[in-house]
Amino acid sequence: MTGNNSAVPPRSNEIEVSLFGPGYGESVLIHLGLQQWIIVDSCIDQNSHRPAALGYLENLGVDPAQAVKLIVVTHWHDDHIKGLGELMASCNLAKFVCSAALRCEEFLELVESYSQRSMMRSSGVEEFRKVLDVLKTRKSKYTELSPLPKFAISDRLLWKNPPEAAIPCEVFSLSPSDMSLNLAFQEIKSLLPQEGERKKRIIARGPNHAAVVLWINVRDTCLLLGSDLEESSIAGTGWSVIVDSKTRPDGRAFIFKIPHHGSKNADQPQVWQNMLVDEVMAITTPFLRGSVNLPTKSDVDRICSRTSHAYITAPPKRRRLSKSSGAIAKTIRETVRDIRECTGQDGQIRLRLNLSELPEGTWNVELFGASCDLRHAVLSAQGCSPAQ
Amino acid sequence: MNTAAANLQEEIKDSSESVHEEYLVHADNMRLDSTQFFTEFGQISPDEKWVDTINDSIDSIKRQKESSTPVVILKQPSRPKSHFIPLKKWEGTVLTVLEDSFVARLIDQEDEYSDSEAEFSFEEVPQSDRGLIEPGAIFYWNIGYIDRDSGQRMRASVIRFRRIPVWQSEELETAKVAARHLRETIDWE
Amino acid sequence: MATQPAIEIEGVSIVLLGDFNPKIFQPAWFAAQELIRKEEAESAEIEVVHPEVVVFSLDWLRIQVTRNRWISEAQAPHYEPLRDLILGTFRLLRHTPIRKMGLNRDIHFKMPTEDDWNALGDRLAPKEPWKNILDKPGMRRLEMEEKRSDDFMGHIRIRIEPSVRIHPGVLVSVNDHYSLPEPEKEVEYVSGSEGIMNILAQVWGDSIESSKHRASMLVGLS
Repeated sequence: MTGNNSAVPPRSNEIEVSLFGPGYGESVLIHLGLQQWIIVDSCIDQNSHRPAALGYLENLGVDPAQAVKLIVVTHWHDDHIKGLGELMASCNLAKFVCSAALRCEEFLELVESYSQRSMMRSSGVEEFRKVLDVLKTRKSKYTELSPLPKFAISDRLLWKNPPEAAIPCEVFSLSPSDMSLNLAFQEIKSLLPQEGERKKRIIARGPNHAAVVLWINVRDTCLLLGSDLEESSIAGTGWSVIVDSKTRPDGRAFIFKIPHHGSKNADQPQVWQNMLVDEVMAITTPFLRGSVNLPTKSDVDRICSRTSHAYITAPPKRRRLSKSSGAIAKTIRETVRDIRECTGQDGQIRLRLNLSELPEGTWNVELFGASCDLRHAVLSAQGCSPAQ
Repeated sequence: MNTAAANLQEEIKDSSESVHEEYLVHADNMRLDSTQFFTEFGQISPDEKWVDTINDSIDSIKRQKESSTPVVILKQPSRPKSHFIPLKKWEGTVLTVLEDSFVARLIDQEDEYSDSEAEFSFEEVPQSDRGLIEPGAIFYWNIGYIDRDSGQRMRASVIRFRRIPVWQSEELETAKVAARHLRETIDWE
Repeated sequence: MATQPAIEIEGVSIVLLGDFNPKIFQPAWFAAQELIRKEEAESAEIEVVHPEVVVFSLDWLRIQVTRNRWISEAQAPHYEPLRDLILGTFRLLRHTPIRKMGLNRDIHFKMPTEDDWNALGDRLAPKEPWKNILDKPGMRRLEMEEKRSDDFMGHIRIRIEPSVRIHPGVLVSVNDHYSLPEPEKEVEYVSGSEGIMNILAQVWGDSIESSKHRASMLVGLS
């Protein structure tokens, strides 16, 4: 199961789902067959300091400028968007999709307010600014070549390959719902600065109403990517409205990118019952911020009770700040009550399936870097057996 | 022109070096020429019309003879009595404020990809900065040594919250206009 | 024993050329705009406050302003607060015409030995051409310049001389200079401080780091 060589590209008739997650942020890379790739969200590789998806494609010998057909940003918080500007600039032919919550003028006002001129850099909006600059450039230079960007809302077909393609593929967004959009608009409006207010960075809080959940059909295989969508008690929002939708695509997913790092807030049992196959391949990334490390032990127990195929890109465990020594370490200890690193370890979960083996074929699971079986990840005394 | 200023002129005329003497005119009722003499700082460009050289000053003084405006020579700035040797530097953003402390995200200024979180007691923050502690507020945290001219060395942790003007109506209006333009510029499917 | 030059003392100054009204720039004004602490304003060492010139110091900052020149200097670790102060001041006073800016970094390096100190001088200013002109010549000061090759107008000038504060030591001063294009009669000129302040916001980090890097390379600090 542990990966031998991450640089071996998938075959033409092989579907691949790769999840990257360094402890803050995540990125999903999907090969749809026939050298067509899509990227969902962006995070930074801690060694190269470049977008993880880009580095991986280059490692495979794939030219992102030609091969990437779609880039989806599931929401604008900086853990899902780091490096997105560079990604967009490198993938000239990729259609760009983001949540319809970002179509409101207030969001663009937010982006413009936090431009360099304001002396207030806030990484999520700043990265989004780079994306908008790329879109503006594309409009002026590549009108005929570049597809128009698109907003994601519930039950919308975002992209499909041409009818003559040997491997039919469709990408749908299952959220945000109308009610979620309203809530997201209100949240964005509340973040807008007011005259006379002190300038400060944006600290996004609360459930993410703008998150985009994706459903992907590749021939007879379905994938469900849960982004950071949390379940909500507000009618018309969260996972319940997705499960109950009569207009979403049919089918059950073989791969489930667990939402919101496996947290209880994002769990909706009906998703597992109605939208996923038994023994679904469940994948997730850790979240190491604030007072909570996700997934918690009870989250892991819950997930592992539903499938025996659950994996995580790195153990949800923070490291104490270790690099300093001498006077620096002494002064830090004397000054702060507690200090921890937030970036975890780099890891990649790679799932591949030969499409000619459908419907009986089994997914080949490869674990690179710090990624491991989810069950092992919470054995905190030993941490996780790292992939060899 | 008063005697002191006249004496000063003579001194400048004779001197072949920049003047360092401590002539400082402080009185409100004197009109001052804005000439001054710099030693270390102040270099901009030789293309500029330097008003700092001796010859220019003398010419200026001659022109101003009729208007009786003496030249002001400011004393050389005194050397600081200590200097800071930096060891580590972070930029922090306050995430949450607790009862007597706050949690902040820290970005190492030598490695912007290095990311940590720390909890600081309010006591570590200068009294006059405590009113600035709120989620989203930015501060600088420096660790180093302070070396005094007396030879004494001390380890130091220096926290200073960032101070910049509040949001102005003009910049918010500019952002609104730019947002409108951006919306019109990018076509969406 | 040290085998490499070491940074002993360093400071940063920002010099602006433009049209200023010096008497605005009193400690009390900065405190009222919340650009410095109230206590700092109250304990400021004021040398002169006059319509033509203002000079004052805080424990981390010194400012001198005349009608056409603004000089502000800070010692470590207060470089970013210095930048913030200037950006903040001229965002508030955005109609103040500023045409040029110098971002200056001054570093006193201690050389390992006096021989290394002399060797540095010999390397930068070979004595051979002076053989029959001066008896035992020594380098007093050397200044070199390059025109900017990036997107901005201006130059980079580096000056090196023996340090008066450290022995054996050298003072390296790097002047990273930016100018705005001259206003043209037919073209609408961006007046005020916006042009230079945008440059400052954009180049600050790279300028400070590259100045330190250049100074270090010059003295052979790897």
